[in-house]
This record gives sequence, C-alpha cells and structure tokens, in this order.
Amino acid sequence: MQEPVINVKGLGKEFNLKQAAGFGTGIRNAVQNLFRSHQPPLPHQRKFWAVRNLTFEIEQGESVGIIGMNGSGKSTLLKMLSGVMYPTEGEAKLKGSIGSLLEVGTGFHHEFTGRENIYFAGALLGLHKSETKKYFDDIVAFAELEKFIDIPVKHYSTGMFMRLGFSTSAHLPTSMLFVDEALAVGDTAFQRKCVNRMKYLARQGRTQLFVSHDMNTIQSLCPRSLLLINGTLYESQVTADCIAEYEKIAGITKPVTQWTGHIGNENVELTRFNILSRETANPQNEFQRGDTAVIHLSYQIIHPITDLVIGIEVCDQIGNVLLRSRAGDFEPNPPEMKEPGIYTAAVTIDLGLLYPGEYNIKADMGIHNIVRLVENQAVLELKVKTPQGEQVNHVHSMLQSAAYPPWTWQFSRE
Amino acid sequence: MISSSSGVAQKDIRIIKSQPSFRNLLTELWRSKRLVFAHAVREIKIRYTPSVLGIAWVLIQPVLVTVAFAFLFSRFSNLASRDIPYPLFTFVALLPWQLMTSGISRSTTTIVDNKHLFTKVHFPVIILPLAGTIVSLLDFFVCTMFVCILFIYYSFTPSANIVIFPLMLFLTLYITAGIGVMFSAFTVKTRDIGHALPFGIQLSLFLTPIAYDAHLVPEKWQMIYSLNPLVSVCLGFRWTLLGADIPLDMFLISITVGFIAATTGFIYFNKARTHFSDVL
Repeated sequence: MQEPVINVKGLGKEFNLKQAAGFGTGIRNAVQNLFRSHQPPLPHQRKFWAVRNLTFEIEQGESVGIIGMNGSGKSTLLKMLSGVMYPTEGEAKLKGSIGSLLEVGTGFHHEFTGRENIYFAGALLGLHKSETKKYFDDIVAFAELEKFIDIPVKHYSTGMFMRLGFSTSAHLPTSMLFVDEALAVGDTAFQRKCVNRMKYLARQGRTQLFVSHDMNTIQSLCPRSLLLINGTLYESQVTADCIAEYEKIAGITKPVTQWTGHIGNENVELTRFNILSRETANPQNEFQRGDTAVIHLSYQIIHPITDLVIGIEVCDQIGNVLLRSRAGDFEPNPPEMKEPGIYTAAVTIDLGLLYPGEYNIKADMGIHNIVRLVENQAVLELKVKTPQGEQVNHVHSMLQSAAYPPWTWQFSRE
Repeated sequence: MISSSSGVAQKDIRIIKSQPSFRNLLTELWRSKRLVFAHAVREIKIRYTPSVLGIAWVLIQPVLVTVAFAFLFSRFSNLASRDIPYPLFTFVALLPWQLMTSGISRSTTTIVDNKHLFTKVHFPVIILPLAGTIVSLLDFFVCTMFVCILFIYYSFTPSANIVIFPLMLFLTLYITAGIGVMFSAFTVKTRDIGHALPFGIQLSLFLTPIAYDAHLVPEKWQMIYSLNPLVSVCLGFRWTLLGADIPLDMFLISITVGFIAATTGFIYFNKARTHFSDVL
C-alpha cells in the first residue's frame, strides 16, 4: 500500500493565555521569559490545549473536510499542518508542497499590484518567475481580474481580493491544498466556481483539506471528514456520518418533512412528529397562507411519569422563535396521561398568521421545571405560499414583523 | 498530473514537530534561497518607490556624515594616519558601520512587520530578518562605488591586503545577520530593542573608530572598547582597503565577541521561532 501523504501522530497545541500584565510586572516577566523558555506557569498565565492527541492519516489525492464548532481547533490544526504554527507535542509528516489559503488573500502585500503578488506567491512556493508565468494567465482569468491586475491590491474590493487569493492558491502547482473558510466571502456564483475548481483538482489527484461551516460544500467536496470536538478528534470517517454527529452535538438539525425516531429518557420518548393537512389528514409540508395545519407529536411513555410538557415552536430560517405553544398553556389542567402507552398530541395552527416563506417547526418535550428532553433534535420544514390571486403588498412588514395576525385597518375622515 | 509536471519537488518531506533542529533551519533556508532575494527586492521597492530621490537616499547619509566629520575633524591631523586622506579614512570605516547598523536595525522589526505574511503562509521565517541584511548589502554596494570615486580623486592605491577583503565582508555580514536575527526574535517578545536601538546606533558612531584612529583610545579602556563588534569590522575594512595599521588585540577581541553574539543569535532564533505565530 502507498504511504499516506499526511501522517499525523499525537499532535497537540497548547496556548498560553496571558492576561494583560500590570505596569511594572513587565520587566520581571521579560527577564524570565527571555531566559527560561519552559518555566512553570506564572499565576497570571492560563494555559489551554487548543487541540490534543490528534492522530490520523490522509492518502494521496484524498479530499478531506474538517468539521467542528467555533473554537474546536480546526484552524489551529490547519495552521500546524501548513507550517505557520508549531505544535507543542506530537509530530506530523507531510509529503509534497503545500498551498494554503488560511485567510483571504494569503500573504498579499497591499502596496503591490495583483501581478506582483502572484509572482511573490509563486516565490513563496519556491517557484522561479518563469515557472509562475506559466500559470499567470489562468490565475487572472479565473479571478476575473484582467482589468485590475496591474493596480495595487489595496484598491481591490474584498471580493476581488478573495478571488485573487483563491485563484492563486488553486492554480499554483502544489501537491496539497489547504483551504480554511476562504469561500465564506464572495458571491454565490464565484463560490460555485471555486467548488468546481476544487472538485477538478481532486480529480487531478491533488490532496485537499477543507475547513468550512458550510456542510453542503463539505459534503459535495469531501468523501471523508474529520470531526473535531473541543480539540480532540471525534471521528474520522464518512462525511455524512460526521455531519450528522456534528449537527447532533451542535444542536443543529436539518428540517425534514416528517420525523421518526427515539429521543427522550428512560421514561418517555418522542417517536413521531409530522404535519398534516386538516382537510385531507395527509402529511403535508406546503401550505397556502390561510390554511390550517395539524401538527402531530407521538410519544411513548415507558414508565409512569408526571408533569410531562409537550409543545411546538415555529422558527424562521435563522432560528428565531416566532410562535410557541405548549399543551396546557391556557387550559388549567391538561389531560394527564401518565400510564405507559403510545399517545399522540395534535395541535392546530392557523397559517394565516405567517407571512409567505419557509419556516421550521421544532418539537418541544420535557418534564415541567426539571429537564428539556427534546429541544432541537426534531425539526420539520414548513412552506407557506401566497394563495393564487392574492396581491402581495407586504414585503416591508415581512422583514420586520414575526407574524401576520388578521389586522384590520379602517380609515375615516373627521 | 498538475503537481508532477511542475517545478515543485513532489518528494519534499516536511516533518512538523515542536522543536525543529538547527539543521532543519538550514535546509529550509537553502530550499527557499530564491525567496530571500524576492523578499529583499520587495523590501527595496516598498522603501524607495514612494520617495522622490529613491535609491539616492542610500548615499546621502554616509556622504553627509563624512563631510561633517571631515569639516569638523580634518584640522586635527593626528586623528588619522598621516598618509591617508581624512575623508577616505572616515568613509571606509563608515561603510561597514553603516552596513552593520542599518542591517541590524532593519532586521529588528521585520518579523513583527510581516506578521500578516508568516502567520498565513509557510516559509522559513528567518528569511525576513536576513532580507533586512541583504537590503543593507545593496545599499553598501552603492556606497562602495562612491569609495571608488574617492580612491580615484585622491589617486590612492588600495593596499595589497584587499585580497582578504571578501573574507572581511563575509564576517561583517555574518555578524550583522546573526545579531539582526536575534534582535528580530527579541522584538516579537518585547519592543524594548526598538526603542534602544536608534540611541545605541547614535552612540556607536562615536564609540567606533570612524572619525579617529583606534590608537587614540586610552590603553586602560581598550579592553572594554573592543567589546563592541563594530570596532573589528571598521578596523578590518581600513586594514584591507587602505592598508592602515591594525591593532591586532583589539581586532581579535572585537571579532570574537561579534562572532559569538551572531552564532548565539542564530541558535536563539531557532529556539524562539516556534512561538512567533502564537505571540503575534
């Protein structure tokens, strides 16, 4: 078998969080720092491991995604592999040259023109000017900067800067390409172009590491991913599994049309969650404004319990809760169903309350004042459309108003 | 394959660990030798493009210092050797003084100034302070041409010791680079060097045998005086180019101090470089 091109063994990085030193402590610390590189931590210094015990291998030509929440150590890992940061412990062995795009416009100098910066980027990789020249036209064409290539990059817009940065890294001949969140900027069209370029490079056998919060891109680019959780490697396997695990931990759940599963505790579990049309009693996710939907929550009581709370939340696409209801909010005594068995709670919602758009409905289950058992794990998608023939005049209110109660306006003249 | 058709060697193996060896520093540096010059050229462009007089600035300073010294001191005929014209005597010593002081002061801030670069792309960081020395070396060559003019003007024949001049220049560069590299690493931790340096350089103009001959230093101070590495290079340049007397004990002490300082500088840099991107 071929040896892996990236071989990481027990890699770890510890950071020293120094608190701002008070006046007068500077000299003492400076003297200590200069002469003792491994002194015991001073009381005002806090240390923490950004990543630790990372061990994995990457084969030639693999495209691997790195997934994790903010602060989970993704960027630290990529920085260490790129060689701009040194690990505190462990070792990594890399074969081949590396092109890294750790931030927009890697290593560009603002006073220089795009042309000069491209050649300098080549020099950073050890390329002679004549070698970089071979890739120059492709870089410029891809970045769509033909007209601006001879002006200093300080006059570039963020988008132009980013396009040049990506294009340079993705065209210069490196055997590996590391990309950290670089696609976050730029318009959708260019992002698609970048993704296509990376796919092309992957087919050409270039090894790629890709950090992103955009799960769709990761999924389409990387068959395999590494999931980092608080600096340790949680899984390194099929991307889809990593994403599912990540979303579970991050509390992000992809909305589905209907949900089935088992979440809860040893006494009670949510088992089914879906939306039905009131008219047809069939599962449905697209409604017209003014329709009434029925939301069903099925749950199983395994051992007798008390104080079970069932509810729903209607959220917008960013996660803001727009409407919320819990069984028993208004009736003084909700039906107490304590005995083991399978139950279904149904709640109707008048969709006349919502502006046309896409929403998420979250199931909410818990024990009153004790624990929330289901919070973000079961999410349904809901589309509300404008009924045919209805005139849309409400764009402005839509942006600033969560709901659409049946307002009535009346005007009169005194 | 894209990668194999290029000039980038596929078989490069890079080992990343907490404390790279000194050999690793040298191999990395050798691999990116081109980059040292690319960076130096970039530094020169940044420095001279925005000024009207451009590269002429390199000459203005040493020439003015020489003129000032000549104007002030040429009457004291005992300051310099009798058979060497005073401006030549001064300017030849100013050459290495300027090479060293400007090289060191230029190197000192390079790492802090280029943090946007080395925290984003991998390359041997040592090329940043080294490029500082190289830029000063180019300034030095410009000034050397002026020396040639002085030689012709005074119809002065260079001494036969000139064969040793390349070695002398190399030693000067080594000491400059070593101290520059050390200061650049210090500056990452504390900016004090940046404050002390201009003052130190000013002072060194008088504590180095530039306007006067080293023989004039009182005997009991010669030991301490020689601890300044600049002393040796100035004496060495005068000896190789002008054939002036060289007080050997002073020269040796001074050059040893410089050599040790420079070597320590490189070793210190190798240890300190792993923390640069953490601190900045």
